[in-house]
Amino acid sequence: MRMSDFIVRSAIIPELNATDKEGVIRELLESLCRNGCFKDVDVEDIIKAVLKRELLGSTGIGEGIAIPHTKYIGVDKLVGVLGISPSGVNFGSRDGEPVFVFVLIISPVDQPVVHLRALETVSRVLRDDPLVKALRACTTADQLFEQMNQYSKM
Amino acid sequence: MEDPSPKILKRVVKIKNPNGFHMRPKAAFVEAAMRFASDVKLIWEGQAFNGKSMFELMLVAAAEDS
Repeated sequence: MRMSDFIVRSAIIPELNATDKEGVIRELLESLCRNGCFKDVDVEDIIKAVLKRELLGSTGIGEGIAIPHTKYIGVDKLVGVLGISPSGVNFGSRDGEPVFVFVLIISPVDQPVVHLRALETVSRVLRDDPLVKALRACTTADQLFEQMNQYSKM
Repeated sequence: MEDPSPKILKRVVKIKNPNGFHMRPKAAFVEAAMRFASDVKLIWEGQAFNGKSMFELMLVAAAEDS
């Protein structure tokens, strides 16, 4: 699996405006919604679902990375969006540090293996410090997608 | 004289959760592992992962029955 298999290029946000957890999640999901990823789905309901998941434990895994996610009944295929916060957001991460790189993932309810593979794929890619530095230096969605894709081909 | 060689405790487990070894149980695993001074490793598909590192455990995409 590669990130380009599920990251929606046109939804990527090179500079998030939001400065708090709910704001970031909302901004990422609204971007997916504007790009036609959720047909007949109430985006407010998905936002609630992702926030509910955060209450069980922050998806900030440390080192400036967060992977907010949920499985959702109205979604029939895995989708994701990449967003960068230049100033960092307090996401309640395990290491107490702000998050700069967000990959939000929404999976179908009946595909647990796909969901696990997606989380593993994102984690494997974002473990690479030079890549994360390069992502944070990007200023457009296309640059971010190309950078992410280049790494995946290695 | 005390045996200086390190003691290794091992247990083989099977994932029973239909959602597999997802983020929440990973977080619980790390929290539990951090309570111990010793190294904690999780071995999956022949690879060893640091049980005290959430980032490393995120690479373990172990599904139900694995």
